[in-house]
Amino acid sequence: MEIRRLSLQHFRNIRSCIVVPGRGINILFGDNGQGKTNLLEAIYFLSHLGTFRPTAQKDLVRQGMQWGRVEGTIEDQGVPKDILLTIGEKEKGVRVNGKPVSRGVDYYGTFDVTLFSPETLNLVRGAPEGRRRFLDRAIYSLDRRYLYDLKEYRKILQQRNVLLRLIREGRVPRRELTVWNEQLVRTGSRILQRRYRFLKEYVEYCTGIFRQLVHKEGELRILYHATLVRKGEAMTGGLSEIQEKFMAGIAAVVDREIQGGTTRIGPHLDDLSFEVAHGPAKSFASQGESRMLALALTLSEARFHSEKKGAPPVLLLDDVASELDPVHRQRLSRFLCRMGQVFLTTTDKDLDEKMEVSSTRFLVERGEITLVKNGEKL
Amino acid sequence: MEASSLNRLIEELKRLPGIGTKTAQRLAFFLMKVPKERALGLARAIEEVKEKVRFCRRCGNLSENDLCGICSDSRRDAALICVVQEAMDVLAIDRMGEYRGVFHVLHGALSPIDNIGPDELNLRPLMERLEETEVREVILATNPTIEGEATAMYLARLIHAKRGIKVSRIAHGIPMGGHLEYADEVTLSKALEGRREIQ
Repeated sequence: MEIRRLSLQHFRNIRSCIVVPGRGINILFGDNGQGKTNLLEAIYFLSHLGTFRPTAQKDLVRQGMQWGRVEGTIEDQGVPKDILLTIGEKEKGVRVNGKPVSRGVDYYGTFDVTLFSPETLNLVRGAPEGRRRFLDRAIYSLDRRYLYDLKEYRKILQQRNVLLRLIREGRVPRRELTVWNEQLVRTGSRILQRRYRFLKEYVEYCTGIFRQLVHKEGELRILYHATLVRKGEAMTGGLSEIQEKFMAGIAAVVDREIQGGTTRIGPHLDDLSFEVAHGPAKSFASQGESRMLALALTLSEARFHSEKKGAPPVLLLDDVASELDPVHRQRLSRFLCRMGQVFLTTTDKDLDEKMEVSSTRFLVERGEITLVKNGEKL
Repeated sequence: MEASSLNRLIEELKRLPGIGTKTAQRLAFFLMKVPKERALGLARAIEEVKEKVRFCRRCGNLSENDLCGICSDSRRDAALICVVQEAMDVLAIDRMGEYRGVFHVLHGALSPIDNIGPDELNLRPLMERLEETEVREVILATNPTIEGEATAMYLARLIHAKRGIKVSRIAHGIPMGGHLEYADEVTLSKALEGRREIQ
């Protein structure tokens, strides 16, 4: 997928601009606070109909204005699509080729992007939620049934947790738990099966990319820690095996579940860990290494996605290249040359030379975006 | 607003499902403008429904008599019971004119969050029916939500434990006359899951 033309109005600090990006690497450079990330955010919004920053939708609209507008012409394997988003204080409108889209689910997948932002760094070292979210998003962007199962699982959890508390208070007999256990196992097992299946394929992509970017002979292992599997126990990931273990797991913890009033095993509590070379990445990898690892994981997702869908997503890399040492920077640029369209933000105006890539460069200054060629503004 | 009786009407209308402040105001002003007879006709219709309509003793469906029209219809197959969540579902299934069995209305589905357990559902009369009459099959037609599924599972277990009655669950999938390309992925995937062999 590719953006051929992007037009913004009243988006964050950008009053009005039209950007015609290049097919390969696009570098957005400028000082801090000028609007580089805002431009990435607009592209991200075009894909996800939401932002990756923790802000309210109304803050996306330029101060003092009623609405903002993001318009993009996308090319998806040769087929152009016009997407128009209007953003109000709370509401937003979506049109594809002039036709309004009323449900978010119908829009999903129209335009794919993969983002790497400074927050992505927490993937390796941060809390498990971040890793679960990463995993889930990677799966449901290719499989909508998975998203549906996740939502359903969340509802079952809520119901079951309330029931556990009612049982604890003696207001409901314990046997009423049976049907909710079955529901939990049925939906939860499907989620687990999809996760195992995904990771099996994904880890191969990751190892390849990890070797290109970080270590030529490096070993990368991704371990899935299922709460329903006891330490040292093997799990092949077959559906009936998962269901059996899930049921047995519930039977083992149900007393404590009733005591605590919450569900203690299942995919909602599972975690991932990454092992590099000779030990777990979380404990031994340096700041720089875990940065590269997070980058490799994100790029692998993009590569995986592109293999499955037949075209790479647009890559958004917020402030990633400038802090890399020359060796890693070059490896990254070699890799990016073989991806589709890329948007990179940086404060370093000479990044293109340092990366030794041909690129389309834009200067971002106080919300104005200008194409720069041979050091001259156009 | 000056007229407090009008305000009261608006507040009452707002309690109705699907009615917000704006709609309630529009309805109230409409009722104020129509001839008195018409407005009172509505009031009387509500009164009459509340006085006359009750639940069928056997199946829990809405009825003006002790037994509803379906339960008292001798041409119906009383050995085939379709279990639904609400009386509205009876209307929906009966409208198609295909189904010749009888119904049982649960008046809800299992939902711990709403404090609805088996005791809150219209279950005991169903179990009594299974004991007292010759029943061949029970069709579980609760909604395809997690609450509806949980209820279906619960009932299936209960009925299996009692005696050898066939228990079935309605299929989920593609609406008839619909094109595959318009169905959402989840519906499609469920339809594939529930596929059956063509003989």
